[in-house]
This record gives sequence, structure tokens and C-alpha cells, in this order.
Amino acid sequence: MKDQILKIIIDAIDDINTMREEKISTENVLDLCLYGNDGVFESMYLVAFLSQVEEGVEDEFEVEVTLASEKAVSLRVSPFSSVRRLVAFIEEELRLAGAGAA
Amino acid sequence: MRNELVRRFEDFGTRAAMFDREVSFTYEDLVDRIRYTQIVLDKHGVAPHDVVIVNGNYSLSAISTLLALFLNKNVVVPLVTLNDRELATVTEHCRPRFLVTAGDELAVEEIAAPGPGPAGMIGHLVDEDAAGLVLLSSGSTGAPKVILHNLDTLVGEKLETRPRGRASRLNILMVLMFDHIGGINSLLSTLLVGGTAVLPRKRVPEELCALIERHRIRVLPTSPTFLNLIIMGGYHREYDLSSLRLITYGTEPMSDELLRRINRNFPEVRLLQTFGTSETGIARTTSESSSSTYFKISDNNVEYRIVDGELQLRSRTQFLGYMNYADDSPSEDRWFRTGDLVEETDDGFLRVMGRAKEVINVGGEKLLPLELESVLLGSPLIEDCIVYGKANAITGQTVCVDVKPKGELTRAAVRKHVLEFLADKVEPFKIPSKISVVDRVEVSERLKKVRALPRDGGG
Repeated sequence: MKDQILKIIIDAIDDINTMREEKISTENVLDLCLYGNDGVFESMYLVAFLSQVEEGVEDEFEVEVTLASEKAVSLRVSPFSSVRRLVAFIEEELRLAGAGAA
Repeated sequence: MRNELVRRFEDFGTRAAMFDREVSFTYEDLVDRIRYTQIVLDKHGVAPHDVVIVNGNYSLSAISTLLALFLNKNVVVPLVTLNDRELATVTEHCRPRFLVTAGDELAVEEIAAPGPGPAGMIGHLVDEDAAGLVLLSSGSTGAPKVILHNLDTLVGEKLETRPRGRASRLNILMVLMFDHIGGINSLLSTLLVGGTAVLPRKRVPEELCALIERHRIRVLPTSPTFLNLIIMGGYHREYDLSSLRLITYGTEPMSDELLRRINRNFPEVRLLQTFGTSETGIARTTSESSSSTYFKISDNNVEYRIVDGELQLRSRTQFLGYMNYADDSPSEDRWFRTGDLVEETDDGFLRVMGRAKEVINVGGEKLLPLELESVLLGSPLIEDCIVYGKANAITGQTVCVDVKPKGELTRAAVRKHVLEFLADKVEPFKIPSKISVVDRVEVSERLKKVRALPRDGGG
């Protein structure tokens, strides 16, 4: 499942890169910080990126998840601090939604 | 006033008053039917100032009942569909005594014994010895607002317009609903000047276009969304609509881009924006031109002012108040807040920018859906779209759009197109973060787009 989620995230970044002058490198993608001091997105673009990931998750797992949620922003360690954490957060959301067997 | 109305109808005599399911009824027929209805109502014990629900859609029967109840000084509650929620609201706040079902047969049912006195502000109507009209607002959440009008005032205003001669006959399609201010306004405006009302059974583009062709309709009162449905479906090419002289549009804001499409497809027709609310009635307006969304309120009975960008109205045909939302009723000075955000030019033309409650707030930056929809409709790949806000925990709200593309396009292709199309046209915060593809944009019973409000959003 992790790999599938990671692929969705990389696809979303690749897609966004086509519209962006300053490309986001996906070389060390798991450690990529999405939002915050070293983050690659401003808040507005983060929301757009997350909704694209939500869309990918929906297509892949047929489950609707919300990533820009109260829960996500109130976690002690932000799921947007790295792609690794975002993958874990999505995995957890999918498990709660009962898509764990996928 | 009641005599004047009957006298007018008698004078119009053998002119066609309406077409109901392909059958023509003259004004003589209408007067006969009103008298018959009065007898039936009387037989059932309907007394002046009783509150009476009229369940039915446009038909000779329903229209005659409405007019008979006006003559009898009743408070009329027209309801096209009788659902539990609306019936409960009306029962609680208006205490109706009778339910009249105006189908092919007229059925009168006594639903409550005479009460101790009139409900709430209906007392004002009893004091003035006037008839009343109750309309329900089409609010998407909570109980509908119960809006009380003085029906004598509404009819009286229409009687100020002189009857038309046979030569300049008004032939009008009743597109707006029987239980909606726009529909009641169209109906009274038509009948009190001797025009012909063509009554549709189904309010779908195909049926309405067929009626325009068959009855050589000259005036079409409608909404922007409905005009777009006609154009999208190509019905204006399938049917002969060349009789149309005037299209009036209202009930929701018109975007510049849609107006351009309409002008292109109906080059010979004059387009007029109407403006009104269930609470203040419909104001007389003049559009700057057929291709302009700017209009003037040119009605001696209506005053307006703009406070913090919001249009406020005060009219002679204004409602008496809400029967269930005391706090929202107009204040002492009677100014009514329309909820519409407008801009005004130096020479007094107004333009509706959108509804105040539809403002999308993205981290403090604000956007009205209509602005973005208008830009998007300029794309050759987008047939229709609806923009709305959705709550999220990062920027407060985000901009979302549902797109109905022209032809088959995948969601990814639509997203790519929308982002590229908007890139150099709008500020970054207006770029939708969520782009969905839909088969059709949902349209309400009242022919408006159904737009989710930001507070309805998940997240």
C-alpha cells in the first residue's frame, strides 16, 4: 500500500512541476518537506496539492479521504513535514476507512 | 379594486386568457370559472380572511382559485408540491383552515376549525380588510421562511398599468413557478392587461421551446441557467423560436460570458435583466443594453441604497414580514437587505456580483463564484461549471469547481486545461484546488444553479 500511496504523491508532484518554473525535486522524495520552514509549498498550493493526492487516493483505493483536515493540522508532528509522514497519515486514514486489505 | 379586476376581465371578453394543455380559455371562461370557484368555496364555508392553501400548478383551475380567494379577501398560500416540511411550517405559522387541491377537479378540505383569531401578523390584513399572499423562501437549509404579502397591494400595483389593445397583445410563457414571486408577478402582469398566458406542464427546455414555437411566444421570463440549458442542448436550433421579442432573466446573477453566448444565439431578441426578491416584489428595470449585465432600477415604487456593497430595497409592494423569523423582518425604516452584492457605476447602473453568503474566503482573500464561472465559460472546452467554496483546516476555505466539459474529457485533462486556462487570467488564490468533472450542473426547481455554500463543506 505504501508504494501505491508514494506513487500517487510523486505523480501529483510531477503534475504540478509541469506548471511550475521552479521544479520540485523528487530525488529524495521521502524526506521532502511539504509545508513549513523548508516546505516546498505555500499554504494555498499545499491545499491544491493535497486535493490532487486525495483524488489519486480515491481513484486507486475507492475511498474518500480528507487531508487538509483539523486532525491533520492538529497532530503533534505535522503530516506535511515530510512525504514519509504524509504517506503514514494516508495509510492510517485508509485503515480507519476500512480499506486496509487493498 | 376587486370590481376593477372583474370589470377588466369582462371587457377582455373573448380574448384568449390562457392556454392550458393545448386548450384555449377566454377571459369569459376565466370569469365563469372564478364565479364557479367562489360558489364552491362558499359552500364549504370559506370565510374572508381565512388562510387557504392552494395546492396545484399553473392551470385554469389553480389560477381561478387564486383569483377567487383574492376576491374573497383570503390569505392564499400557493404550494406547487405539498411536502411534509412545507406543510408543517405553514400549519405552524399560518394556521390554515382549508386546503384546496386545484387539479382537474377542485377539492376543498377543511383542515382546522375556526381559530380564536388570526395568526400573527395576518391581523394587519384583517384590519385593512385586504387579501394576503404567503410565499415560502427556497432556503436550502432549515425551515423555509414564511413571507407574508398584502395581495391587494400586489394586484393594485398591476392595475395601475393600462390594459393593452388587441393589436399589441402580450403572449407570455409562464416559466417561473406558481408559488414563486416571479411567477405570481408574471401571471398578474399578463392577465390584468389582457395578455395570454401559456401554461407549461413540464418545465424542461424541450417542452418550453415546443410551446414557444407552437404559440408564437413573444416574451420569455426565465433564468440565466435555463437559457444556458436551451443553448447547450441546441433546442433553439431544433425549434423555431423566431417569435421571441423579449427575454427577461432574473432570480440569479448573470455572468458576462453567458450573456455573450445568449446574444450570439438570439441576435434578434432584446434581453432585459429583472430584479426582485420574494420579500420586495419584482422591480421595474432597464438594462444598459441587451449585451450588458448592468441595469437600472427604474421603478417609482422602489427605492434602493447600497450599504457595505450590499443592495438594500424599500418598495411599496414590500412584504409585511416573516411569520416565523421575527428578528429578520425589516426594521422600522423598512429597508430590506437583499443579500446581493452589487457595484454601481457613476451613472447609476447596477451590477450584481453575487450573493453575500456565497463569498469564498481563501486565507483572507475573497472571491465570488460568478466571477470565476464567467472566466471559465470563456473556455472552448467548458460547457458549464459551478464554483463553490469548501472548508478546510489550512486556508479556511478553498475554491472548488465542478466542470461539465464539452465532449468526453478525463478529470486529469480537465484539471490540466482549467489550470492552464486560468493561469494568466486570475490571481493565484482564485485557482481552484479541487476540480471535478460532472455530467451536468445541478439545477433547482426554481431554475437556478445549486451551489454548495462554504459552510456546507466538509473537512
